[in-house]
Amino acid sequence: MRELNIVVCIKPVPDSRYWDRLSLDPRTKTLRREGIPTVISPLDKNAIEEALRIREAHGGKVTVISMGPPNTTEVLAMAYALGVDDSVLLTDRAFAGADTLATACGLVSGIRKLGKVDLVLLGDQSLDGSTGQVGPQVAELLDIPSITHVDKIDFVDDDTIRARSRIELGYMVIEARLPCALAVVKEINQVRLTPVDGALWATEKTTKQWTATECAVDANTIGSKGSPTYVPEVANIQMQRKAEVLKGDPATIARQLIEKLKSAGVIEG
Amino acid sequence: MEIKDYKGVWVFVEQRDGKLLDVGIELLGAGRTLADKLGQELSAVVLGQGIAAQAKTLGGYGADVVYVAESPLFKVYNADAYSIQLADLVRQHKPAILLVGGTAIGMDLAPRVAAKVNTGLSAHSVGVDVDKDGCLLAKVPAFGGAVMASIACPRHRPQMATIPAGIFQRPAAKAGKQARVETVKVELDPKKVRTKTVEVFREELKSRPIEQSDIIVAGGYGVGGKENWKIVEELAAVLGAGVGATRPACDEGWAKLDEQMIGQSGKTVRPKLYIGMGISGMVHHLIGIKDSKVIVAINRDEKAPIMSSADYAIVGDFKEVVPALIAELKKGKK
Amino acid sequence: MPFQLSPAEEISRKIAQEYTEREIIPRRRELMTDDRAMWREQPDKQTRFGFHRHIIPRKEGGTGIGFVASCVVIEELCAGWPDLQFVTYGEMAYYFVKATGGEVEKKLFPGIIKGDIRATVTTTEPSGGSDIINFQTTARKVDGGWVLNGRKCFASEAECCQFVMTLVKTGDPNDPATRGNRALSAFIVEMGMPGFRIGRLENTLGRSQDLAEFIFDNCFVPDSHLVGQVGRGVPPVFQAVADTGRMTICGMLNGITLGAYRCAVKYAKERKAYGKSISELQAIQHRIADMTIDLEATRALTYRAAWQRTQGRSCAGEMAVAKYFATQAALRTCLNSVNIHGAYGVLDDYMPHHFYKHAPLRITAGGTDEIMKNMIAAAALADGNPDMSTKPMEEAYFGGWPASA
Repeated sequence: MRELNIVVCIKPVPDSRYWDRLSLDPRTKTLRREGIPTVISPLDKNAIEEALRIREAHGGKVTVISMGPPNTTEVLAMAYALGVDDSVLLTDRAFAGADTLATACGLVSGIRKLGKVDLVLLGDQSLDGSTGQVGPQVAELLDIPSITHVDKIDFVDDDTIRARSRIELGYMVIEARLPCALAVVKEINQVRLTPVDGALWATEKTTKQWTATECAVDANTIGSKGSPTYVPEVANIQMQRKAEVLKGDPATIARQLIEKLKSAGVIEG
Repeated sequence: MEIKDYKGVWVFVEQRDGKLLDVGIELLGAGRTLADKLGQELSAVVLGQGIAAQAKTLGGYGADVVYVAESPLFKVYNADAYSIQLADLVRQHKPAILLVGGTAIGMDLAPRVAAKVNTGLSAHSVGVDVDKDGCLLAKVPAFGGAVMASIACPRHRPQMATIPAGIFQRPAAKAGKQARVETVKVELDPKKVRTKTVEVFREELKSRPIEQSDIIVAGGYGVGGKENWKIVEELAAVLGAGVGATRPACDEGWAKLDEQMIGQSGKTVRPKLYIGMGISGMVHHLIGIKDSKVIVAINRDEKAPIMSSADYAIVGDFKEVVPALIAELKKGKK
Repeated sequence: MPFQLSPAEEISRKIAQEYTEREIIPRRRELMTDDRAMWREQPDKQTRFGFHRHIIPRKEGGTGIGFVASCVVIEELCAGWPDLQFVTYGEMAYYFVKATGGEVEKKLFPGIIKGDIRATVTTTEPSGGSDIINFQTTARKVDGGWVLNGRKCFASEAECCQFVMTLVKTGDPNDPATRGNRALSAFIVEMGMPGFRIGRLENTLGRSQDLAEFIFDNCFVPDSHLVGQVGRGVPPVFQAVADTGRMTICGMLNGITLGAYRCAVKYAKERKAYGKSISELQAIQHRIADMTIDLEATRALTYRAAWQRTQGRSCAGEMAVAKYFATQAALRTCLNSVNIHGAYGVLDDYMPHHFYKHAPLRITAGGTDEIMKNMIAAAALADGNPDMSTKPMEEAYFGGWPASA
């Protein structure tokens, strides 16, 4: 089994434990995310874990790549803490405001700069946007095959993998030659606990930072400029109903409820 | 691209095992509404093998045109085969809007087509409309459903959106309505198909899919255990209802993720009656039930989010209330 | 002295939090009904995970991040479940073999780095813990080693350890050169050595830690197992107790303070009474402020002493101050937390009950409040200087103990 050059695309997202702090700015109609810590999107951590396991089995190198403001390096340090070999952050105003296609363009320019890559892994959906689009779009732009919703990866030989892709009530096992891109779901593995030595790796290794110019990418294909879609408005979801409260002893509640449901015509009687 | 050259609303209707999926038909209903607003044609696109006869029936659901592409390469979904063919059709016929059912396969296919033709795609749309300029506006929940974003794709065509099953109601079949069938000449180079499906596994559904039930009884993490889950199932049995669950209840192993999870990343249901217990009412679950006719919530906490989103909010312990309900219902049956 | 944790220490805290959130917190319900639920698996899990390696230099196979990191880790583990930390015993094992050197170090060191081997110190006897001069357990010189006889009690976490360091009488009462402190020598005794066994296990308030009795019944230990020199047993033992032991006890107490604090803040925000969150009531706010002050202060004192130790400087006085304060802060904070929770504070399916139950366990561990004050006063009075960090380590210990008879 030859050594593999594995790249894992990771997205920094607001920590879901603090999402109750999200607020809507009524004026700009955008989401305010201040004060919410940033973490690696959970399924991307499954991708890192899978990459580390493949490296442990076959040898090779695991590089993580991400896109975001300069302080994203703090989040990427936790990828070093897990045990990845190298870390790259694409950081440039030109990358900002990107939808999935422009994000894929940006990531691809960074992946190309890394040189020959055998396997691209990433989470099937991100925690916040959850579109599931970046994986297949990165693959399209790299012109390599890709498989989504992957919960199992097996190597047939040095250059061929079989990935099990989950679909409704079942799965498809799909074979593809390397290089290819695989978008993984959480059922694929359990992410290891960050090891104690991770504190040393995270503080001693630095993340490379690359600008759009260094990635030699066409500025019209990235950032908000390169985004076919945009978000004119974000709104709170209203789900109020009449909320008639029923309290008291169970037998009384039961009788009252059944009467009301019968008159509403939703149960027989 | 010249925006004005793009006309028409397209719906990709997925087939699996030679059968057209319900979600495609639901989207024809949504597509018809959009096409009427735009004063343009609605077309269905079907890829498969031996699927022409079924594809013809799509006229009855509102399609003006049905494009049928048949080939052994399309019998089972293949990312390359489907995306190349669909992108080719898009380039040839230039639709203004392309809707794809948000199944696992649809979510795999749509982004590839969008990248190939360099256009925008909104995922998990729970609503679509066109504005006065004829531009598509898709409503997409974000942050687990905490907020609703509107997405527009002003300068690229086609404007694409994936829409999950159950968001739109299945349109009634109109007898006698015929579509013009266009048989596509499939010129796909097999060498461009880079992946091979070596195995397909599908579980047989032992019970009726819950989205077809008129009544759904659902349980969440607050149910507290496998023993307690029997209370959920007993109430469902007495009512002849389907049993739904939130994600945490599925993670605990009390219910099956694929079949029973209701929520933004699971099923959307619109029963006549929904009864939820041990459910706090996180938005990503509520989004899955918001079109239910009557919502009943049972929770010890009067301030649980689900309570204000319910028609009837029962403040109490489900372990006491539900057995009382069951007893009362059984009395009525006698 | 730096006033914030270093990046490596911050990340060590995150790593410990992740471990606690995955390994310990999900099993709180189980621990609430059975304190001892995880005491069999956690010792191995924690030392094999390597938490004890922060105090071991890198060139010896540790992380070298230092004593503050160790305190931070223990804090997070104990905030998950009070007293469920076994990092101390990995650290002690390291110190004991380094103090002994020779065959013992060669044999046991690899297992200690791997995390398979833990050790505890056992000094207390039925006759008393503080009054070491009057120990009854003896070691008699024989060919090739020593024979130990006697009983020790209240040894922490004996059952998870593979060896102990003990302090026994080797002196001859008739020889003035071996009187007082010079009557005592330290030995390494391994589990499984004939004549050495665990006796009673005591039920304590909050049962997750066991306190054991050790019985030496003509137990032979070879010469290689003598720690340092004959009659010089006090320094290595009290370095273990005063440094490692007391420092980790501070970490545990601060973890109890932290845990009680976190659940009180959470509860105060969620609990409603009189139509609003109780966190809007001034009385509750003042309790929260008191808890915050205690948490800030106890962390500052503990981290300062730990930082000093990392610099290689004596910290006996600072550690005594930290330990005394940590105990008081934990007792106050736990009581505040119980108060904020109202009736729920004493129910055994809520956390404040458990933090409160475990806090007193540490009052006597690593030296009673009275001994702490003796030490602090002795160090302060010795040179009239409130700045304690002037004494070399050994003198500080002897300075705090009663003069020999």
